[in-house]
Amino acid sequence: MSAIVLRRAGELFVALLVMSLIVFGLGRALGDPAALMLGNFATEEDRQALTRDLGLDRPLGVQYLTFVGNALRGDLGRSISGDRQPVMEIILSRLPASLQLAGAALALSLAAGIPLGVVAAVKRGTWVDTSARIFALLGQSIPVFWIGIVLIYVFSVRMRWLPTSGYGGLEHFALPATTMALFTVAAITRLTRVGMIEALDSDYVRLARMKGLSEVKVIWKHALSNSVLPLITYLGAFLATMITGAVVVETIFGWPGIGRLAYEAILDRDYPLMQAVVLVMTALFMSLNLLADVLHVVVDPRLRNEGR
Amino acid sequence: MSRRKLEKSTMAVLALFGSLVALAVVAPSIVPHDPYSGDLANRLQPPAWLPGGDFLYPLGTDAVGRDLLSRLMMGARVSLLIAVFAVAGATLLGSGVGIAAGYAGGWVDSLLMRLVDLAISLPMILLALLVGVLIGPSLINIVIIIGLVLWAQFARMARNETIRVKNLAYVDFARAAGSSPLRIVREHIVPNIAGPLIVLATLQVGTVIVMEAALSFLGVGVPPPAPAWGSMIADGRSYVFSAWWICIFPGVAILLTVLVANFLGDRLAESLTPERHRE
Repeated sequence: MSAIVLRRAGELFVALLVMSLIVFGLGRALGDPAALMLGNFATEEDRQALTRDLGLDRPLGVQYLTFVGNALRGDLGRSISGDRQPVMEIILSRLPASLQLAGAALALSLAAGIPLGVVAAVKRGTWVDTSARIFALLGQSIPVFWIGIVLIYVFSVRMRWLPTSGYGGLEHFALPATTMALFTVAAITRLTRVGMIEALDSDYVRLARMKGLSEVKVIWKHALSNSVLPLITYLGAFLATMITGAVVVETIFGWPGIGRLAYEAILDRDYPLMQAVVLVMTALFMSLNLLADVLHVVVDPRLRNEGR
Repeated sequence: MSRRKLEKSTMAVLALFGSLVALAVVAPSIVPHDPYSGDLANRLQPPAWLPGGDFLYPLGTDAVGRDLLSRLMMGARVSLLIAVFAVAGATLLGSGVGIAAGYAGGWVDSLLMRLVDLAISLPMILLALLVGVLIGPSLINIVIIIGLVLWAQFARMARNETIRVKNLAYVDFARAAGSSPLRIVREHIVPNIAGPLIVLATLQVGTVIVMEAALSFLGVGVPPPAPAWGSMIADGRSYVFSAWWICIFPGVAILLTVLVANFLGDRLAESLTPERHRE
């Protein structure tokens, strides 16, 4: 058990190293970062000053090792824009908003997906089931960025119920969290439905019915608790997709999280910030997937002795 | 679902997909207006059925007066072209790597599969965005980027299928009869693992269309003025208060195309790999 976790953590570290190499290499391969960052109107002195400042005049290998060494100590450099804040500070100030949004979206997905899946399974073959399945199919085919704009149009422009963008109270969460949740609601509905159909056909549910338990108790307690268990193993993976999905959702809704930060840093070619935010998002994404794998082993002990 | 009904719906999905492809092919010669340049006098025209609409522009016009219907039709061409090339590239690269790993086994297998695990575990959409910004938007670049995002899944499947097939009796027999590895792969392995790979490829078409649209929306996909659905939505975003149709219609086009592609993939999966679909 702990061996698997250790191995996966080792793999995560290697993957992060590879990612840092890619991010580092891409920038260097595609021209002089100092020139890219300063744009076309910079003077030669500016360029040289920035080159020295960023250590770009040293050999590539040394630059990379310095970068990794500093990163391991939590120092990822300073942003090139404005007042040159350390990038770690910027990222940490943006992280809570992203985590809140992803958390809200996950809660919403569970609150909507599980009941939908249960009802679809109980009413298997009826119109309720069919509509739940169509909904699940739509949820996994709709482009996220488009549904975000449609929600803004319907609820902000037409109804004037909710703000189009920004960060603050509950009313600001409604649209971005719904947008982000749509895909996972669909996935959770599907998973719950399949699990419930299996559970409802099982011996212990039959036994519970024979004992004369009420149908409500049979469905929502006995059958559900067994079909929800596998769902737990997906939670980490769902959160992981929300971290990367944040780039689009946060950009549309002007949400002050790390997704929008990543997009802006990439567009502005704020080189140190871009490197750092991509690495932080990769680390988050991969640790959540690691968590999902660990939970999977915890929930399903049969996997414990398998190598892969 | 009864068998008859199933076949009917398969035919319907196939017909829909076929007409979409046909539309994409003939789009340049049947578009009612020039999709690239507009008439500023007719900018932000609403769809024909709304007050102020005109049947000259059935779905209305965008902010520079270009006909939305014409751009949507040409957009189908862009989306399908990218999807086909990106998926084909990913299938070829992935199958190559996967078959090599599965057939060779040993350290080659472990090395290649480590690479595949790595590629699958990284947040590829972030990398795609990064690469897209750094190398600049172009049709070829987006095909390459999406191909690189997808290949690993094909490699994993091709490797597992190759291992399943390579120990079957007739492959052993061919080996004993002195066939070269290349010949065994070509004549015995590829035909036997093609089914699941084709299904995976079809199912990925929808994913690619959404991914391309998302990248175009973020400004790193298809460069303007090419009418990509994703960039049409991005263009319409700032007009959502006054001219909703500019970004609503391209989204509907994406949604319908992806649904049709996914349906087709499901149906193919049922007929090409029936042993996995006993549900």
